[in-house]
Amino acid sequence: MTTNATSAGHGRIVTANRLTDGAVVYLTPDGRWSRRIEHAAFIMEEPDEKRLLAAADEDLRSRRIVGPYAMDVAHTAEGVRALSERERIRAAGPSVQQALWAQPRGRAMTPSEGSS
Amino acid sequence: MYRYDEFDHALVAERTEQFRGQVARRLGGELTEEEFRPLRLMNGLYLQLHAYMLRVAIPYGTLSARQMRQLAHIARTYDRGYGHFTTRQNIQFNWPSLVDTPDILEALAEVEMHAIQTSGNCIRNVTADPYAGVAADEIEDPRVYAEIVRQWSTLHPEFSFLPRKFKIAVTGSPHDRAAIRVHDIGLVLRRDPSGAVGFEVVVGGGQGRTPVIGVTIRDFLPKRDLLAYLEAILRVYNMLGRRDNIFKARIKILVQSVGGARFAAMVEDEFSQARETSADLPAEEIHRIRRYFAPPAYETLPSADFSLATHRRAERDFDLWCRSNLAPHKQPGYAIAVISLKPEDVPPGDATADQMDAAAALAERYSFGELRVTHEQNLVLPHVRLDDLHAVWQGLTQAGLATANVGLVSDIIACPGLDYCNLANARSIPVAERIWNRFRDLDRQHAIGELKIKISGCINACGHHHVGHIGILGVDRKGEEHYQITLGGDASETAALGQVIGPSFSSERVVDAVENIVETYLQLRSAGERFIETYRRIGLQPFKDRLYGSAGKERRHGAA
Repeated sequence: MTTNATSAGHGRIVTANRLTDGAVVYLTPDGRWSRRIEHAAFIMEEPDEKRLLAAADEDLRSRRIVGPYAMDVAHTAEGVRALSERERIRAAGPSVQQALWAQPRGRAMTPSEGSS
Repeated sequence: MYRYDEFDHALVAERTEQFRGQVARRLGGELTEEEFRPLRLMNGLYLQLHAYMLRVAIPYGTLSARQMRQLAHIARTYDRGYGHFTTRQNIQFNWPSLVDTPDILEALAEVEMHAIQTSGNCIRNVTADPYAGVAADEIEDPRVYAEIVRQWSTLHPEFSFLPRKFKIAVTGSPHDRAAIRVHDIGLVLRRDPSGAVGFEVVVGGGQGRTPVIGVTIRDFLPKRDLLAYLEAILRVYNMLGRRDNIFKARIKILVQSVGGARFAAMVEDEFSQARETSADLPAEEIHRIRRYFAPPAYETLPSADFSLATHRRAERDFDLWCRSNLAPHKQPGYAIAVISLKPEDVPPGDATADQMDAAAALAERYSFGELRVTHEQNLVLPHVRLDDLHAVWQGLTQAGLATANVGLVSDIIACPGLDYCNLANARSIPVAERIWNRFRDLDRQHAIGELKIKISGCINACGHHHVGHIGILGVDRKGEEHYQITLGGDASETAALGQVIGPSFSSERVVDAVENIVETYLQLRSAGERFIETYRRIGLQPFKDRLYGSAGKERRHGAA
């Protein structure tokens, strides 16, 4: 089953990068892509993962995203947490220079905090 | 500086327009990601952890103030206000959007820059001694030959699909500031017994997962034969280099597998056979290119300056900066001033757009409008009058660029690591920042003396850890960041690969381990001995004993 990542324990979510600017995005239960990991559809069973990856492939073909894959997460008291350091950094942004990278691009669209 | 001719302009403009069309076709659905990926990589555009990354070539690390201002403009307009100068003397922008990239390439072309051959299995941006043309110990300006190699290798049809990427570095000084012996080809300008100038040719050096110090296959190559000889090396590599295994595809593996002498014989054979048809490098062409690198209009000045001495006596911070950040210039009355891009809490090599503009303004006012990028991720003002140094230092201080640490323990090389890079296993930048903070007292740093710490976030070794006096390699240990330490690496003319000191350290313990190593050096060094000299005299064991042996406490506290 998939939920809005509120269930306890370990599971999987589907992530990708947005085609236009490479931003990290997560597949939500309603089939949209969010910049926020807590919006991700939380997968506990393999058929659901296959179904969501198939949906992601559709969005790959329709040029919304690139490089979709499923990743491991845990649901903790603080919310969804990526299990690997790599995915934690992908979700939170670089652990350095935050004052710089957190500002919007000069002229480019500011990445939406909600769904793309 | 070299200026584009009509062919250069046409080529770069054509490539920019081609890429604009390719991006439009990708966004419009005519190209799949699989089709588009090699096209974007050919234009230096990678997809990293959080965003696209654009790698821009800075040929042999030489920049005009105008070019630096344009990089600042790009950082400000299309990115997030900063850029990252790399160990290959290039700059990387961390946050460009795909849709803006054609405009960025157009902005680069306006100032005779591009991102061609900054990715892919081709001959990459040619690097050189950052003090080229100004070093007091130089035989000849290596940029003349770096530029000739750049022109020869740009879109070279025979060498556009090599087994793997290919990096060439050139130096004109006996003191190697370009890490010549860890490049696929290193060229060292030398004199033969008759006084003629030619090249020592070093082949098959490299870092990555199989670090190798290159071997000399020609002690003296006449200048005229430079391109023909490079062609012979590349041709042997192109024919025999492995294409079945990406990890064994670099030329170093080929040279190691056949042996240096046998590889040299194959090159000489190819060179003699193809000599009639190979590219010739006549003296007139060398002369034509050399004119672009003519020295600026130096003034005739005394070799010492009274006002400089006065300022140094009066201002201790300025004196410290002069001690670490200046190098001897070939012209009396001038100095080479290094701008440290290693201030507190800043990723090594990062500069904001405002800092780039400040450096450009200082270059315009005090350094004939010229800057350099070093492979150690700093900038250089190559021609500063001694009596201008104090004003330059004041300008740098205002811009947050006057850290007096060049060559010292906090002048750390670090790759972007897991904070930005898709390939990394561990973070590099936070380790560099924590080492910086541990040794933050500049007096202590100056007392320690020359010490090169280099950090890579994975085995690909972009942070040159194999040739760090202290090398730090990030590894993934059961999902946790760990760091393996090597000692005794050296990127200079006495090149050496570091030796692993022992089991790796947790992120929490790695800075303690570095400090332990530095303390051991301070206790055991002889008077005037640099870290690398002490290491060579006493070897790895005393460092190892004190790090692990004297107390297994590092192990108990997280070493694995």
